[in-house]
Amino acid sequence: MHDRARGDRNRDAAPRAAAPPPSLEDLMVLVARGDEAAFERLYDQLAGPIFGLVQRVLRDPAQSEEVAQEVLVELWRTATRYQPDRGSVRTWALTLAHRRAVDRVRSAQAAVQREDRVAEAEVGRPFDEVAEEVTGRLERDQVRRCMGTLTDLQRESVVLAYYGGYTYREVAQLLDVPLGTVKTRLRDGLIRLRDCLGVAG
Amino acid sequence: MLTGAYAMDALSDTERAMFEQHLADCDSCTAEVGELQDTAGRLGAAAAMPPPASLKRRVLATASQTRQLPPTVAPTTAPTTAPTTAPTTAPAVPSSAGRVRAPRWQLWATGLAGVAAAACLVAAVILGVRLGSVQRQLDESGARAAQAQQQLDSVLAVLAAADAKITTAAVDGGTGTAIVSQSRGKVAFLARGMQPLPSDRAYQLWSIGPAGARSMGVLSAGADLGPVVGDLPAEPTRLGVTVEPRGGSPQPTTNPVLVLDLPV
Repeated sequence: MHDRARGDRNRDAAPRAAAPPPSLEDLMVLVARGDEAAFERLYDQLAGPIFGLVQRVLRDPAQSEEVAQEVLVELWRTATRYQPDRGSVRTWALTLAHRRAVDRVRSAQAAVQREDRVAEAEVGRPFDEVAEEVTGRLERDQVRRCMGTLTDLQRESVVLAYYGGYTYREVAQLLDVPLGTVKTRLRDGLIRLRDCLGVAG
Repeated sequence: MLTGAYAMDALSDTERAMFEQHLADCDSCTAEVGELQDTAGRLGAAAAMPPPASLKRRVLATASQTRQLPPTVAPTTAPTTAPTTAPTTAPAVPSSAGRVRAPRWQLWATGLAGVAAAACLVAAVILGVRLGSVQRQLDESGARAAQAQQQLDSVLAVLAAADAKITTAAVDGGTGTAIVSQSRGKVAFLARGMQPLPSDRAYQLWSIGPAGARSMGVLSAGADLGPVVGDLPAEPTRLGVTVEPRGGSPQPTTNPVLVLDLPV
């Protein structure tokens, strides 16, 4: 990291700027070898999605920063264990981020705040509040469009489970539908989203 | 199908652990979970927000002071058949070192009585296999080897106790073994052939007595656990192994996958 600061300005002007940026998978190979500069570039690409997702679930900015930091350092620490054949780096990172956020939500410490959040009825405003200045706007538009293809119950279940960090039992309670229905809606909803979003990012 | 709920972390901890065990045997579920996690990741990415600038400084600084995990190397599976047959067929086994081993095995085997002999042979075989892998570790890495040697020494110390007692239990596809020495106040544990766990889970060993469960340490997530040696609590009745989050839990959060009743 420190070595890198010196050459940055010159490097930006160099012809190599025309080369395509390294993929997250390429960077991960370097990070696994302890390359701190590569980790910084990985950070630049992943910190926004990780922080945004964690804050979306936790709401509290201070807690979100803490969890996001934990997740990002974990990516560094476990880079050597990343297996490309088991999914993309982004999926790996966001799966970890979501799980850590949910673990935090479910810890006893957060139990009290949670009670209040149930009353907030966040189902009604799934996407509109996401900040506009964020990169990845295309992605957001596409997700919003695809969310529109779900049935109301699918969408509500997915939003409460994923962004709300609720268990499917809690979702069933909130929506007042049987457990089996929620399980099915979560799976059907995700499958429909998968088909709508397509494979390519 | 719980794949959707799993991909969105909408299962309770217990359900999650159970489903992960199921995933290990279900290739089509694993494939579907992978795709759904990918989709969930897209939802996650859509929530991106610029983090505070201070976060970057802290993350980079913390990372540079955090040691990375060593990569997982392909498991070196120790031969389990050869050592098992070695004691009975010893005369037929050519000794590469040119030593005459058969008489020694026979003397030793006949010198010990019944159940105790069988138990010790089992332990010797297990330890022999472990010793083989410990030896390989010695060759691979000095630091790891020192640790492995220490591990082995402490297990051997328990085994060598005059009152050492052994108990084993079968678990889906594998076995767990405990060696107890009341005189030394120690218990050694090892297991082989466990279901490997996802990277964010680990097996945790507990001594369970009238007062409840006490952690004896977080083990690996792989097929082979231990050997580990711990103090024998005042009134332990059994050892249990549960699936826990990678860092371990203060108390068990799932039902044990392996339970060993300790010999008295």
